[in-house]
Amino acid sequence: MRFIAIDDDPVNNMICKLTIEMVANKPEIITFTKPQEGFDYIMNEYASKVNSEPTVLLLDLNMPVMSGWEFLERFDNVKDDVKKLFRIYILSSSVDPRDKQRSYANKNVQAFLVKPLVKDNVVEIIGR
Amino acid sequence: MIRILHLDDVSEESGLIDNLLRKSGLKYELVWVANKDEYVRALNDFKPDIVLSDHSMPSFTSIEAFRLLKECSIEIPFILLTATVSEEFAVSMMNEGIADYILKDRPQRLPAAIENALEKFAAERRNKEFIAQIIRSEANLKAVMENSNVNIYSLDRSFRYVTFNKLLKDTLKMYYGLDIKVGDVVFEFLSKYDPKEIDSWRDIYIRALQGESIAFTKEFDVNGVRAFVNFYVNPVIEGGMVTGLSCFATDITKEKLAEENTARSEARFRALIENNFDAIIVTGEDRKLSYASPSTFRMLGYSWEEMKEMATETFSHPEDAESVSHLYEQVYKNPGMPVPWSVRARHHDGHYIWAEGVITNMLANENVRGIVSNFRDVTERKAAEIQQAQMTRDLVQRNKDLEQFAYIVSHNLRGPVANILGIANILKYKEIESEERLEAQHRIFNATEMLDEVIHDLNRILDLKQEVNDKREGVDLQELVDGIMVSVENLIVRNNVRIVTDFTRVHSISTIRSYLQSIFYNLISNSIKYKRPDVDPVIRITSSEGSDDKVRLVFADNGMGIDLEMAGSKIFGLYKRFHPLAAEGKGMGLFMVKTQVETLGGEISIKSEVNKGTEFTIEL
Repeated sequence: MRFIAIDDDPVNNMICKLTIEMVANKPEIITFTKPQEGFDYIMNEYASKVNSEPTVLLLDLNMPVMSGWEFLERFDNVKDDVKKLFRIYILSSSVDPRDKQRSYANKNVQAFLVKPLVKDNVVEIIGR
Repeated sequence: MIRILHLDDVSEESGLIDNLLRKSGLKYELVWVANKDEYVRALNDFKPDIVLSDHSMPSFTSIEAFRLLKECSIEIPFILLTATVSEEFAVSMMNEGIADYILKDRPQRLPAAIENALEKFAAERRNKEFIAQIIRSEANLKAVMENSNVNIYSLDRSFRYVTFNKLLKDTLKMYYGLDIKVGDVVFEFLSKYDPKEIDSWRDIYIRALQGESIAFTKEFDVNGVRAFVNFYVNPVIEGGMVTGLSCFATDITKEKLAEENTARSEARFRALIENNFDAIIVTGEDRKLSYASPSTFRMLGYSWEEMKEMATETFSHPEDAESVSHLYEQVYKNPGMPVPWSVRARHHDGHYIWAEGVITNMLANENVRGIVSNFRDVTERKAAEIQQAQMTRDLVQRNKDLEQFAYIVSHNLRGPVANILGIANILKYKEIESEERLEAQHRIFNATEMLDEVIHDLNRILDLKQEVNDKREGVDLQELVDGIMVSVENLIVRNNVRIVTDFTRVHSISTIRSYLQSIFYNLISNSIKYKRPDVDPVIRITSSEGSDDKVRLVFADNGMGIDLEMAGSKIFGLYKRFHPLAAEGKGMGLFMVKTQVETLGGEISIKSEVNKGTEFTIEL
């Protein structure tokens, strides 16, 4: 299983990496601090190849230049056979209920997780 | 030419008369007739001016001839010519009405007698006509008097009634039971119907007898009812002498009472208007005032003399000119319809009050012929409204601030906390090598520091919003810029920054120095931070007069610019960063600038183009 974490805060990306490694067996973890680069990676790695790896995407919301919301908007336009490879989890420091509601309203979002990512989160994600 | 008819049975007589008259030089035409038939025919055909008649003829006498004349109502002189008649008979004929008689033995007098007789008859005729005329005009006068609705009477010099009309008689009878007769003395009656005023009546009548015409109104109490009568007392002058008085009296009770009623109701309405708290003004078609109630003077501080010369437009605030002209359009378009209005009116002292009321076009109303406005001073209410609106705005702003505060807490405070928690978790569960442990410790430390910084930022923002009461002072703009340039000297030198200022139009602003300094500092340091890598930064700062007595400051740089379509309304938001890679920033700068500008009562706007530069315009 592949994990992609997108957050402008490298510390969070590091926490994600270490936490996932505690639970998963030899996971492939790729992190981005610039959402644009993450999006480009998806377009290049998935859209152009067949039989790509199913991927868990951990996405922060509050980022400069391209926010998590903008990322989701763009992702919605991606081809369906690429989309279905992804399970997107919002990983935000926000405790604002409106952010949570808006996340669950997005059909591409699996769940809304509050930072920090903990082992139980990863167990649940892998168990699905 | 006198036409003479001569009646005589003897023809020679006629020749004699003819001779006699011709010698006298009288101009005449003579016709002779000898009997009754000829006489009657000549009266009709010849139409004589005078008849000369013999006394006795065989079948006709002078008496018969004279009576015939009378029966035919021919009024011409008749002269008797006789030899036989006795003096006695002649006198009896004179009494019958003949003009004269001439004895045939003394005919010399005839021409003169003819002339006299004609003259006398002409005079008598004139007299008769005159008398007839007098009789006619007296009848007319009598009719006028009797049918008049004016009481008419005349008095002689002893104040006795000479004449009076029926109306006067009836009036005195009806109201006072008095029965007046010609010859009664007027004062006897006055003692009954106006006893207290006898002396003044006497005075009036005596003055009139001295030649004065007197007009006056008297009020009477007629059995407890008030009555008003107009009197005119005039002297009657005959041959330069005052022979009596002609007097007229008109009952004007009805008119007088109506007049009093009108006056009373006008006084009542006037009192209502003048004691009204509301001001009432009436404007004529020339838009000048024709009336202003006393409360107008109280409210606006002008006197009537000052106000009446002013055009109505001059009372309103220049900024209301458009709405006032629109208002008048409505008023002129809708006669009789009250149009509500609310404008600022200039007080005599120069300040403005808020006036609110209703204006009605009553130009078509004959009794008004004007535009009527009533209004009241609602300045206090308006001030309260304005204050309330300000409070509402403030509350909305506070609410936004609170939302923003919640946002900061939710995102920026939660971020570092989440990091600390995350790392702590990892440290708890994972066997970590000492190098990674050191890294983790370092991260926790960093996150804690960031947390601390956010808390400090929050403090600063809260502080900022409470410092509104700081004193304003005149701040010299060039001095301010110079000071900032010194404090960031190494930045300026390192980046080769050029700051060009033009404060010639406005060189100083009255404001809170620390705020303005912070605004300038943030904008200048932003321009340096977000310069284009290959272009030396140039910052131009200029001042000019803005709208509403404000000062306009423009900061223009040649830096990277911001894509405003993308950034949109977030540009001045807290912790919004648009160039995270170009320079370190927390997204505090523009947020602080905007907050401070708004705290000072100003506004800030931005224009920007990517890779061209950014321009901030501030109105303070």
